[in-house]
Amino acid sequence: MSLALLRPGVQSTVQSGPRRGLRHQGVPYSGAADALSLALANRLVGNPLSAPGIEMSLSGAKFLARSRITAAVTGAESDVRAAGQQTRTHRLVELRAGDTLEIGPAIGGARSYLAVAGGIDVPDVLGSASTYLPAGIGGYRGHALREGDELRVGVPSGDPPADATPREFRPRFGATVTLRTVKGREFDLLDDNGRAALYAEAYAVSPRNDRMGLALDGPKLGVRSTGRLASRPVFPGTVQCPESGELFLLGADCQTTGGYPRVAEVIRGDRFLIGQLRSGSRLRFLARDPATARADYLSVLAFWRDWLPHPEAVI
Amino acid sequence: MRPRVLQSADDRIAIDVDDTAAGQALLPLLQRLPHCVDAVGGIDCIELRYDLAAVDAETFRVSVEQALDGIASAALPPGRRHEIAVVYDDTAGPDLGAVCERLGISRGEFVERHTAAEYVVAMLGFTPGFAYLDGLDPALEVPRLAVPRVRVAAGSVGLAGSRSGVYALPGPGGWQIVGRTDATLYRNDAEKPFRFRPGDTLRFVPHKR
Repeated sequence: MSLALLRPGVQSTVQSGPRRGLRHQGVPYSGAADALSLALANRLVGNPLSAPGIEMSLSGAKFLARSRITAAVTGAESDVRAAGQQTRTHRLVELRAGDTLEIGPAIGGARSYLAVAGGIDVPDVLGSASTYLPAGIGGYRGHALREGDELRVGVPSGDPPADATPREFRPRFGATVTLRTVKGREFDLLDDNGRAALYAEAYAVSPRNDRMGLALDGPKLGVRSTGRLASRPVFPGTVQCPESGELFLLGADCQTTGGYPRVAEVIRGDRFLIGQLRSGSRLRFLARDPATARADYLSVLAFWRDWLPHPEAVI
Repeated sequence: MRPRVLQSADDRIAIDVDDTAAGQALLPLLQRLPHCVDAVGGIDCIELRYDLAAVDAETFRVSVEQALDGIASAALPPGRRHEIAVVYDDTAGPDLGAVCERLGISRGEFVERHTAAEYVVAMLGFTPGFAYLDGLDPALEVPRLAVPRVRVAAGSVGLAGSRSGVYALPGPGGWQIVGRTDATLYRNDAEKPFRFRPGDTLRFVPHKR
């Protein structure tokens, strides 16, 4: 069973779960930038929640089924066509050999996810099938998908639970996003104005954004900094404030250590939202204390547990 | 004496350490703690990420403090020695010319000084298998590039501040690249993917292409 790439779009990569246990050796997590949406696509086709699927950025992509394939598309709202017929996101799609599957541009959010029953069959590299483009490892031969690539599809292991994701479990990704954050370790390096502006002002995601991180346009924050700090651990969701005062939000492929002040940390329950930010998305930060952030996270899990088994494995 | 333990995110705590090697020695001991997801070292601290679904901050912090109290001293296992052949030229080291000009020394003197030192791997981090090296000749200190490169070749040898460093895999970065090695620094082995480990010592040997 296989799937051919007819049109790869802006950037399409094979993504699965994060690369675990090697972060202390500099290996980034990678994995779906919006891990919730990949899980929702996998759930619908009967796969384990982190089975390798295809992450498409902004423009969608077009595929050709070489055999019978059960598929589902989730993530940003988009136009979905199977064999030329309109269908939609969060619905099971049965493709026959020779059928095309076309996913249109992302509306509102940034990324669409395609899961196929059996998963995309690529070898694990350092414990995960996820593509990490900067080093050219994982996924399909370490690179973003190209026209003509032939992706092998694995053997389905479970049955689809429904024809469509229940309506209440289809997240909508809009152009305005609020991210709950706790103070970062170097929050105190912000001056008084900077501390206030971090939460009071709105930011816009700059065109300088990718899976590693997103530069944010907005008021420049005053930061007391004696030049570069010693490199300290950073994670997806870390908000850095370099001497320029321009915030930088780290994503799924972010480096493991960095030398800029870490002024905020997006709470775990909201990190999947980072993967749906795109150029121009408007962003606000909300202040949380760590105990409240845990309660927030547990309530996010409680909600998703009614549709996703073990949501804590992906959110 | 127990080091300072601080909350650094909703699912992470930071532990300040006196030196990088002390932190690296603690990582394998703390990584084994229940609910610890990751233990990552920095230059002057380490951070532990824990499973927020399974444990609250207070409980995890207490377990870390108890573990630290039980560790009389942590040391890295004896390091191995490596000799790494490096090509120092403008192709392998696109910043070599600018670095020599800034330092006011010839390429010959640069290579002599850079290969005279014995380096110690302080830690791996930043990009996959990137080795931060202590032991750089202070006369060779240069700042990071003002604008980082999007992609630096695997095996590149760079300078930034008081350290030298080696890229095990291609990656982005602001280190000034002065040379490159063809030595195998990475393999697809989820247990032990990288040639260098914290505490290893290495020497660079000049190699003509």
